[in-house]
Amino acid sequence: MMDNYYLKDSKKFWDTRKKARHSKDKKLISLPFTEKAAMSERIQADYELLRNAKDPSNQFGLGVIPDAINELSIELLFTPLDFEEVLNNAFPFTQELQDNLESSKT
Amino acid sequence: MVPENNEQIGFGGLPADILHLSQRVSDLPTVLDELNSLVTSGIIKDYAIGGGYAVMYHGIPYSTFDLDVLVVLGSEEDFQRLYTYYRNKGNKIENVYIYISTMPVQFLPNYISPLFNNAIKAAQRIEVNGVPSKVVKVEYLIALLLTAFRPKDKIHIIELSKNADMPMLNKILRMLDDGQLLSERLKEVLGHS
Repeated sequence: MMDNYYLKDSKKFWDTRKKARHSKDKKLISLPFTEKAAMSERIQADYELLRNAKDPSNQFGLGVIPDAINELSIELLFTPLDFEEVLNNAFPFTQELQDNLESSKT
Repeated sequence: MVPENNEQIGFGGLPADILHLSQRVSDLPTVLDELNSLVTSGIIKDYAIGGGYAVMYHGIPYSTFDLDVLVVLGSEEDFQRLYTYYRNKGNKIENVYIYISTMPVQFLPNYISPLFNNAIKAAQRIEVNGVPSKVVKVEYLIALLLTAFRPKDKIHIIELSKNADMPMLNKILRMLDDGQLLSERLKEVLGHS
């Protein structure tokens, strides 16, 4: 991604959000107890759902992206590559297959 | 005074009107469904849960009232279009927050910095109550908290770092932390180099 895609100065962006957060916090403080209690319960319910969230990468199937491939995308973006090393990280079985292949030749 | 049975029920003896409000119903799956539909309809390209909800996913109970969503967008105009889309749809918009169901959602575009962009790319897939979603990985979450660096973020960084892949975190900081500021902050919080 091009460098000029990113915000040159993000201060204004964060200042706007800081003010919005303060304003929301003030509003929350003044809420009646019943609403605060309901909100607290909602957050607790969200927490329980998140803690019970499944990790689909533990299953084999569509949409599974191994961590090593995610790392590969970072490498591609930001560092000069040693492709062999990166591919070996992404597919650690490659070396094993290569060894087996070589031993089968002998 | 002994209350009547229908006035006080169950745990903690909460009054009935509060008990009624406190039924544990989460809006989160509905909100995630909506975020997925934004991707399907091309309004956003991708997203990942960040902020307090990501902190909760990674195991720290944390009271947060809003959902921070990191989104991949083509440009600043696309960010404005996102607000227009919800304004036209009739959703409540308050300051920077767009209400989806009852949840105030704050969208944080990927063009803020490469850190945000990569946090989305590397996010892990999850399923919340059967709804597919993505959440930023703990190492990226720490890097994002190092950017905000409020007192509560420092506490969360200490807790989250116990489950983080520290070489991976250092790698992320080496690549994305130009001025070494985040690395210095990490050292400050964890108390070692």
